[in-house]
Amino acid sequence: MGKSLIAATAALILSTSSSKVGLLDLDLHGPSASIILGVGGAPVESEEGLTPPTVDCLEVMSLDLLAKGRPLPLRGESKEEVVKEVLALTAFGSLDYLVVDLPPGTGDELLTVSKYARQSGGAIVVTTPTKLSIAVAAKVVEILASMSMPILGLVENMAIGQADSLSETLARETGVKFLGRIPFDPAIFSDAGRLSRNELLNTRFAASLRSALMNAGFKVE
Amino acid sequence: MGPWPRRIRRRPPKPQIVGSSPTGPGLRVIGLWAGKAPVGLRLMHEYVIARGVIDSLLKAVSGSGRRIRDFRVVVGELSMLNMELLNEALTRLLEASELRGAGFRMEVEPASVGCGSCGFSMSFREAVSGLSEEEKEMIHFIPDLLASYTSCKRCGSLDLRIVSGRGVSVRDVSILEQ
Repeated sequence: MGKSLIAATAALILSTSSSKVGLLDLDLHGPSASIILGVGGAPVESEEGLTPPTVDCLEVMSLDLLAKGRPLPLRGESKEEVVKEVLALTAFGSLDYLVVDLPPGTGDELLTVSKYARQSGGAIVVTTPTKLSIAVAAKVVEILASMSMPILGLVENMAIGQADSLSETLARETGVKFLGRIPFDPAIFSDAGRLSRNELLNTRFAASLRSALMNAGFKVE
Repeated sequence: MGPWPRRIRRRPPKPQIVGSSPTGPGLRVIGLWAGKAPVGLRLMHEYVIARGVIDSLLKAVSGSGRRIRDFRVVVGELSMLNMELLNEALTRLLEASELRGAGFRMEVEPASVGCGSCGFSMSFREAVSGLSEEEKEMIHFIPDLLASYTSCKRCGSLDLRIVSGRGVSVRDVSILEQ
C-alpha cells in the first residue's frame, strides 16, 4: 500500500514546516524508514535512553537500526513487548509530532500503539483502490473506533483517478474523513530509497500528500 | 544480576503500571526499566515498582474486608532491578499502607529462551554467549532482538523467544483467616 513511504514522506513534510518531528518505524517485520530516508547512523545510548539519529532535523527510530539489517523473527507476545520497549526507550525529546509507521493489518503493533497513544494521537488509515485493501482498511477502522482511537482520516494511495472510488465509499460509510488521493507514480516505487530527501519532497506524490495532511488539519508549508 | 555491563543507562522510568491481570493465585505487574542513575533516582525506580506491587494488592482486596498475610514477588532477571533497593522500597511502602503487617519474600526468575522450531530451551546467558559487548548491549535494551544476533544452539533456527525472566509478578498471595 506504500504506507511506509507515506509515513516517511509525511514526517519529512511536517519537519520542513518548522515542527519538531520524529518518525517511529514500528513495522517490525519489514522496517523500511531507514532505507527510504537514507538513515546511516545508529541510535546512541544516553542517560535518557536511546537517542535516534537525525536526518534533516527529522529524528528517525527504526528497529532496523538496532538489528542492523538482520532479520527479526518475532512471535505474538514478543511483538507487544518490543513495541512497548521501543516506545519507552527512545529518547525523542520534545516533539510537535511523532509519526508512527505501523504494518498493514490489525496485529499486535496496531493494538499496542492504539492502547498507549489514543489520548494524544490520531490515526491516518492508508488504503489503495482495491477490494482487498478496502476490506482490510474497514477492519482497521472498526478496531480503532472500538479502542476510542481518534481517526484523522483515510488516504487513498496509488489512486488511478477513479471518481467516487471504493475508498471514498468506505469513508462515507464509516463516517471517517476522506483526506484525498495520492496518484500512482511508478517512479516513486521503483526509486524509493534511491531518491534523495529533497527529490522525494519535490515529487507529485509529496504534493498530494501535503494536501492530504492539510485536510487532516496539519499546518504544512 | 544478569550478564550485562553495569554502565548501561536507560531513561528514567515513568510511574505507570503497564498492565495487570490475574495470573493464577497472584497478580502480574509489568515492571519498567532499570538504569544506572544516581542512587536517589534508582531508589525512585525501585520505589515505582514497589508502589505498583502495593497498588495491585490493595486493588485486589479493596472492599472485600480481607487482609493479606503474605505474598511472593518474582522479579524477572531481564528487568535489571536492584533487589536490595526493591526490598527496601517494599518494606517502607508496606509499613505506610493498609497492608501493614503483611510479609513478603522476593526471588529472581532466571531468563530463558525457547526455540519455536525444535523446542530446545536455553538460559538467556547461554543464548547470548559468544556475542560481542556491543551486541549484548543492544539486546540488553530490547531482549527480543536476540533473534537478530543469535540462533538456537541446537538446530540453528532464528525462531527464538523469551520464555521467562521478564517483568515483575506477585504470586501466592495468602489471606488472613478471619
